[in-house]
Amino acid sequence: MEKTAANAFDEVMAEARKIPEVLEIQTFLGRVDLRLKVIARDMSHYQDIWRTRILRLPHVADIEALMHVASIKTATDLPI
Amino acid sequence: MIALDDTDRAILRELTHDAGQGAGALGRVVGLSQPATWRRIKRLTEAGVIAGKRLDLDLEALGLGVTVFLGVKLALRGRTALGDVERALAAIPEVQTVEHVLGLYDYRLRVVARDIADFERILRRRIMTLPGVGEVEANVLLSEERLGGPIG
Repeated sequence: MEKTAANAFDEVMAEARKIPEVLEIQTFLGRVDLRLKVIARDMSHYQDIWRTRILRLPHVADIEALMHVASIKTATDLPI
Repeated sequence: MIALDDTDRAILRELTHDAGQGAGALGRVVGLSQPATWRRIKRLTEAGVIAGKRLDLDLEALGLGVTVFLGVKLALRGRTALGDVERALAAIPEVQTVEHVLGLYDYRLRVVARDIADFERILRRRIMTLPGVGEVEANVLLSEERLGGPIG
């Protein structure tokens, strides 16, 4: 994220909420500032979302994509 | 896959926001009677479109104030098998999810902890010590929101 604008996070999150394929929006303390979980029907659909929606998001400095392959564990209980 | 009409999609959209609402209340929103709504929910459930319902717990209220996402790169030397690494990671109670991903990392882990000190303990004693675990990157979750997704 380019954090030169004071409201950079608010603006990018507001735009991300308008993309129907975005399922989750998370913010972080660390090397990564923002994470979007995006769902697509196939790779060409993904490419379309990427080009027409994701790349046009404001205040974005760098994008890294991780593709989900498999869920090894999805916990249903908490360590409580 | 079963055929869904607009009413089915409207029901699903409503239920993703609040799965606890009854057929009566839901029917008023989508413009159906209570029994008709109930029959549709039953059909969607039997077809596996509604695979389940989950509780949305406030982790902070439960004393788990810190959520960290870890990007883990494998460093498989010698005889450490992939399955062993996956099983060892999944066996840690604080590790909530283990995802196999393609990209900068091999695995993405969601870890919950009481506080940063507790997280440090888990990271150092449970995760870094595992054979097969190479580079680890940590990002502390500050905020999270889930959206409904493109239903229809």
